[in-house]
Amino acid sequence: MRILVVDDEPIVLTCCQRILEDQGHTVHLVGSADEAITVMEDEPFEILLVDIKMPIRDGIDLVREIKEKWPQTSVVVMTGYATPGTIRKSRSVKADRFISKPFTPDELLEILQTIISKGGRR
Amino acid sequence: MKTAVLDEGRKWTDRAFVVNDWYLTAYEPIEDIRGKRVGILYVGVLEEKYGDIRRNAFTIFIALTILGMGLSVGLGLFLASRIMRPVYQLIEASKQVSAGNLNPAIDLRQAPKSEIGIFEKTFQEMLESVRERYRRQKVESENQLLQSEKQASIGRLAAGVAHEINNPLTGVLTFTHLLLRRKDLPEDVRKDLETIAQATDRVRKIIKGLLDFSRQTALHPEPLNLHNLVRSTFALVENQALVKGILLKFEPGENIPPVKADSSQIQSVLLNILLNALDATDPGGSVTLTSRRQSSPEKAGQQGVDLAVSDTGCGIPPENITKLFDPFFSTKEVGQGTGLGLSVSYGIVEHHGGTIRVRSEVGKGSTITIWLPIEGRKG
Repeated sequence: MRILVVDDEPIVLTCCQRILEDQGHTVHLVGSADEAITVMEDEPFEILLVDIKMPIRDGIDLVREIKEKWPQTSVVVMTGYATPGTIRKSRSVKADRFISKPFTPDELLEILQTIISKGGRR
Repeated sequence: MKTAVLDEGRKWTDRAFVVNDWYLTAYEPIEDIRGKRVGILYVGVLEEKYGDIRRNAFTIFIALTILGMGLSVGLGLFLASRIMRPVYQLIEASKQVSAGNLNPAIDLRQAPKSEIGIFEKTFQEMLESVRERYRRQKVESENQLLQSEKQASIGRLAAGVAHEINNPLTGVLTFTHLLLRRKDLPEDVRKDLETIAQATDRVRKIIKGLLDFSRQTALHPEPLNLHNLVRSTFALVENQALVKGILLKFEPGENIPPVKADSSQIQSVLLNILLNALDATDPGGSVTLTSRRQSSPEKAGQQGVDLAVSDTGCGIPPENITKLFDPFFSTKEVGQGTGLGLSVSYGIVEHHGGTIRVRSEVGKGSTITIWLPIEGRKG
């Protein structure tokens, strides 16, 4: 799978890269929403991992644009904490799944697995 | 007259016009030795003199009557002022009190032994106890408010800190777990890594607790049978009580309606309070949970249910009661408790529109009472 990870925290990017590459996925890392759009325009990714809280442009805004332009891309929203507000907002922009930080490798892979297995129906 | 006096021998009195004036006259027969009527004795008095006396007497009578009336009105007014004025004052005071003024501006001072005085004294005592209750309620609601404000500001801080900590923590968790997956690890390194994993997991739980405390967790309220919840929670702590030799009792109240609440959150509150009670109680003691219908301790008319957990434990010193719900306040040994349990419980109950009250006596035990509204949170 080609997976794009968007987070302004380098440590989270590194974590995702290690976890996902270990499983044989192709991983690309970007630090902002604008970079993500640029990369997607170049060649769309199948799965997007997006942090909600980012400076300049937040994850919700990015997910909205991604889902409008590339509706076939699955989106996992990463949140420091899933408040009713962030969950509602993420749903409204059609994010597919959530994961709360901090997560263990197994937790992230489990979420991805549900997306990949659902992928055939999309 | 002549017939009456001379012939019949009766006495006769009448008024008569003699010469040119009215007289009051009296006639009586005169008898000789043998009892034969021989003449009439006549006495006459000028009527006008008698009229004078009668007029005088009438005038005096009227004057006395007026004087008497005056005196009784005066006496009446005097008595009214002695009795009725204080009564009116009490009525006025009652009106002021019921309008919310607990310090009515009236003079309530009477002879202490008179009935009115006793009445006033009782009224004053009643007023004093109302004032006392009002003062207590005011202090309680101020504390509640202070606690809510403290809760809110600490909540904001906690949420901010937790967000920041979660990112580096993701790094620690990820790499610890990735390292643990390696098969070529020496046993001692694996053990060290497992310790790191456990410690990190504890940090994660603390942060989760902090965020729960900041009341950002979504509620899923539904009609909840509290007695079933209490029984299932008891099942979780029964063994612990048994091992420690503490009697765990449930005294269910009657007619307890279902309350609208999130069962898993309320269960965590109950569990936390029960575990604290078990911790505070020595072997041989008891922990009792009672339930009863109770209207809101704060909002009049709002119906709810009290769940009270009483223990026969060591009690809470007064200086600690106000800190009881502060995050990280704990009297347990380091590692035994995070000091988040009660503050999270407070947040959850408040989120449900309920309250938590504490009553404690050092050496005798504590009672923690959760009140939950039947209708759930309003507004």
